[in-house]
Amino acid sequence: MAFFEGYRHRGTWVDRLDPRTKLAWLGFIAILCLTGSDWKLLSFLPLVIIAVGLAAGMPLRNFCHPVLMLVVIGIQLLIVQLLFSREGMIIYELGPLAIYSGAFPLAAKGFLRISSIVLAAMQFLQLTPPGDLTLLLVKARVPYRFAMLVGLTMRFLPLMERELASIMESQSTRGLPMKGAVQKLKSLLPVALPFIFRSFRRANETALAMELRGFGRSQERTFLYDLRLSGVEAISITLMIAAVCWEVWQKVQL
Amino acid sequence: MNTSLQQITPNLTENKVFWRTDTKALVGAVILGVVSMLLQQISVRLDAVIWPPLIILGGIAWATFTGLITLIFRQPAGIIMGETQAIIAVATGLSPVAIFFIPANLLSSLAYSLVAHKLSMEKWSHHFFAQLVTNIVGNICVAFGLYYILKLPLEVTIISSAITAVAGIIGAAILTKVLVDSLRRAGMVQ
Repeated sequence: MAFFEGYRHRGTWVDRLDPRTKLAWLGFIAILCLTGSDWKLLSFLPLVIIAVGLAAGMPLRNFCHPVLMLVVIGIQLLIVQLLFSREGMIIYELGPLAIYSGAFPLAAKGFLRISSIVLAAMQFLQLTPPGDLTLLLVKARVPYRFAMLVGLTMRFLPLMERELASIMESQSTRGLPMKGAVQKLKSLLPVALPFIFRSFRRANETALAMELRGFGRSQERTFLYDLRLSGVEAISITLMIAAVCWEVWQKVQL
Repeated sequence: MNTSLQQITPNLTENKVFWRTDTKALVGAVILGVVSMLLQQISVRLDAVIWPPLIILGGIAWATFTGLITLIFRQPAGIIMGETQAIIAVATGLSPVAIFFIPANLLSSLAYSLVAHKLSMEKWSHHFFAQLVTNIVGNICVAFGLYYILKLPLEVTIISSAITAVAGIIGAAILTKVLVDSLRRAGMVQ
């Protein structure tokens, strides 16, 4: 299973949205998660993100891998809080280890916050074409040489993931055991080194190919289409900014 | 090595510049950023299995790539690699404190650059010193994440960050030097 699903055209309403609206949505969710501490809000946000994703045409299986990763993070958070949290009262004691009642709500809140941020960031990258991200940066006056790197990253991610999988398969075929955690730990270097070397070679080849095609020859760059923010999108962005300001103001007042 | 190959391979010792915006450096930063992210996915998961509060393998992998890319491709490649890695880490839920990788990667790459710009980076001691600075800067940023997001007690945060930093300094200094030397021998960098 791929750990990262890239953008795919779905032909739904979300494809017509300006990337600035999608970025505002991501920022809105992230700030609400980091500043909010209300249980109802924190539990509601991941559900809203999943609902928006489904409405935008994302299949439910796209959420499977992130949810699996989030479960791992959740377990990690719970272990850390059980070991180190000193909030609330002692509910269990075994030798030097004492478990406090405050560990569970702390782990749950942390888990909900991280879930919302991860799902919103994943949704943003899955619903925004790499070309739009480049245009977004160009619109923000970032030089094209740097702006195009975002698109390049999105294109190379699945490619390098396949390359890593092929190196792991090759090493496994040569008899390198990679079953449990200890074997995977031992196989880290024999897998990483050829992967790094291949990547250097690929970087050199790609850069050479780009320069031979005239990349960076001209300072001015034209695009097939321009970004346009509709009236409804402008109003939505304004409302999101207002809601975030209100939330931050409330936090400062407290 | 023939002239055409010399032109496409980065030079470590000559032209010791701080800022490089040629296509090789930019593309190299992006590709190695993705590579670093993929290897961190494996190492951080292994860390989670071994002992969840510490990020030893992930820390070594992060510091090694920060050093390697900054040393070979200079800036802004180091920052681009770091930020590429940090943003994908947030989107894939690599770590609970992934959002703090954004300032950590930016500042530590700049710190490594400053040291690498002043020293020749030919000796082991130079690599250890560069990694010392990088790991201290990076782990201070991540320590904020441990304290504010995971709500760890201050003493646990300091001990956890210190262990990660020490492992990073030793592991990454060795790996960076070994990798740079092997890349030189393979003719991929001069």
